Amino acid sequence: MNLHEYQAKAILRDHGIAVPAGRVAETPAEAESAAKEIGGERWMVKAQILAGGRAQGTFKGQDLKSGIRTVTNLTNVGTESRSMLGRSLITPQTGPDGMLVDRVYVEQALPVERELALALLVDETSQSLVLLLSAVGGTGIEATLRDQPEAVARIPVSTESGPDAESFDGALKALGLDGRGADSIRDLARQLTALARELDFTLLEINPVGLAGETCTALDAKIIADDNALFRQPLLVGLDDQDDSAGNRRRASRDGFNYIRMGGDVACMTVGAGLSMATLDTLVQFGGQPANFLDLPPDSQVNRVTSALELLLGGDGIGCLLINVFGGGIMRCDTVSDALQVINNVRPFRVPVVVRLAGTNAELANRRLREGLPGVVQAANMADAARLAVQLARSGKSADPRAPENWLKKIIHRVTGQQEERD
Amino acid sequence: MAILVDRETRVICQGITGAQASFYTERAISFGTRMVGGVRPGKGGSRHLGLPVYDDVAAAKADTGADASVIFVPRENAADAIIEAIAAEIPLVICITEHIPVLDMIRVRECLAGSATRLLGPNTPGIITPEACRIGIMPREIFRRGRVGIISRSSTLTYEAVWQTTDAGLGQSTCVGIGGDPIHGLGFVDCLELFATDAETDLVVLVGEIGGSEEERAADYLSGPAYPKPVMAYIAGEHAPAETRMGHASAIIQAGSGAAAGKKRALRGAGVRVVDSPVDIGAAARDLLAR
Repeated sequence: MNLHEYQAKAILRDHGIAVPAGRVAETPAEAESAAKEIGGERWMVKAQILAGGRAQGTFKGQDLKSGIRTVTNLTNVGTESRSMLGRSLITPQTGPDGMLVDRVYVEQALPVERELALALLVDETSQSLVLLLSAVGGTGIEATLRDQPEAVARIPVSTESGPDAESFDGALKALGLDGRGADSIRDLARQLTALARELDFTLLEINPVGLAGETCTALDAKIIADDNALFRQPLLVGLDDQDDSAGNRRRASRDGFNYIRMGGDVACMTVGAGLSMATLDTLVQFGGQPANFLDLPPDSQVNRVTSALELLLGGDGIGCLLINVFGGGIMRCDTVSDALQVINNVRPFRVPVVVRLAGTNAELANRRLREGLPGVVQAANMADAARLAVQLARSGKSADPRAPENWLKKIIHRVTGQQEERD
Repeated sequence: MAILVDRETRVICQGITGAQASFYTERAISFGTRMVGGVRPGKGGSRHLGLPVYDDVAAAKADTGADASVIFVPRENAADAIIEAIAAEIPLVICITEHIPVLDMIRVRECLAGSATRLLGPNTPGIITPEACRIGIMPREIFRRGRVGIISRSSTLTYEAVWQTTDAGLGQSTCVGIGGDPIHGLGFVDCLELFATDAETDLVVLVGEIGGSEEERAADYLSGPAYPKPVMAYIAGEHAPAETRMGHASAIIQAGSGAAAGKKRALRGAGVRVVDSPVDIGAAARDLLAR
């Protein structure tokens, strides 16, 4: 789960880490009064979206540059906010559609002498926590690592004792950060480790860290919290605010499955992420276009499978529904056949349905389908299922509606080289 | 003996009284796995499914001589259960539990360093040596004793690979699920090392996926001194939507790293036969073994 900058900074502030004074605002008027409360003569107005690269961003359909602006006049805080709110900000990380800005963060603009960056993250390669200290702040640490690897130090971190003290001192020295403010950088690193442990953060990036005199201030903050640990983090529940105008992903995650729209004409339902990805690969290999990625967890019961099927069948431009399930673990194939029956009882399928069931209880489920849903096409393996789905999605659009059975049989015969098995 | 488990492996189950654990323990017993006991704090001294139950792993190990433990403990306490098994020096720990918090697993990794324990998982379907030992939740019907070693990150895709090698008339020596989580125990390289010297394995199949660096590390390893057996691979997720978190916690493609194309290139460069489609796993395995 990604946190907005304003949420991340509130957490940092509550944990004794210095951040500039700031307020979140949803309207230009709120932004102006926030600036007034904060005081001073220079403010930052920052678009709140869950993606990086805001400073290099542009607003969709407008000539307006940047999601982060410095303002030196109280009325302009309102004007600049108005030009961001309700518009989509496109950054290198958002994709071409950008992300809708519905909040800005108004913050005191602090003068700093030097900028650096600190990031605490879970490193898959070393299977441990790692602290990255960069002598360059403001640009992405990944870009710095690529372009100036000598400016970034990697410091091992123990969950018990925090950053390795010797490596940290060596890194400060090597990066020329061992002068004034070194203690403050050291403290900040220790605080970040403690915070990540306390709140189950898998990424905590302060970039830039502003150094003025002997003190460090977190000028920007990016936090990713571990979804798997939300059960023990009541403070974080309710901060979830993923942008998704269609609402489908939110619904899917509420119902307990992963759903991503992809725009093709073959709707896919599978169990398990690995087989889901493999099914997409196979569909594309046979010239098909997946309408979605949908991965049901293996502990799904009939009602969850049913709600996934409803979501898929309600999609635009669907020419065929492909179901590929390998029963195993606690997933049984008859759960899928029963859910199909439930859906069909409410509203008979309007698109061809291709089903490949294997593994636990596949025989039982296939028999139920043959008996209860003779219109469903059963495939013997993943290759046949994908080929059939691609052909049916394509032919369904041009088929003679008066004789649907004929073209179905022809395609099955052509694809599998066998007579249809449900005669 | 195939790898990691065989007919002699003595297995205990942590969390044995739970519904899932009971279900799979019964199945393991009927398969022929030597289940020798279970652990459930507070229920020590009782019996469950005909097996003795202990309050802690150390007591279970002392009494039964267990050399493997399978963990079905809920995610809230799963990491502590693994750490307890490490402290009791259980040689092989298989953690089926999924959705364990990442920082808990980092704590587990810190405990694993320098220990006597090998960990499989978490979020693994387990391990099977057909006709000898089954630990975990894989459907037994699809297995057949044979000479193909399988190492996989995904559960459901493991079953697909197993089924195809069975359907192709080959069968498996041992099938190992390393689990789909970013922080985990044994990886591709560890299992490749074990299969290299296993007299019952003639071919190794890697079933990988986007995200993480397991495949890249395997490619590095296989580029080294000549690996004694043919290796083939399928990497799931070439056509998955980019910059998106898929079902597995580690299946994330980020900024060009961890993508399928790079993994395939690295593996091909290391002499691995990579199939682009999962439906070709069985045929490619048969082809490699016929050479």
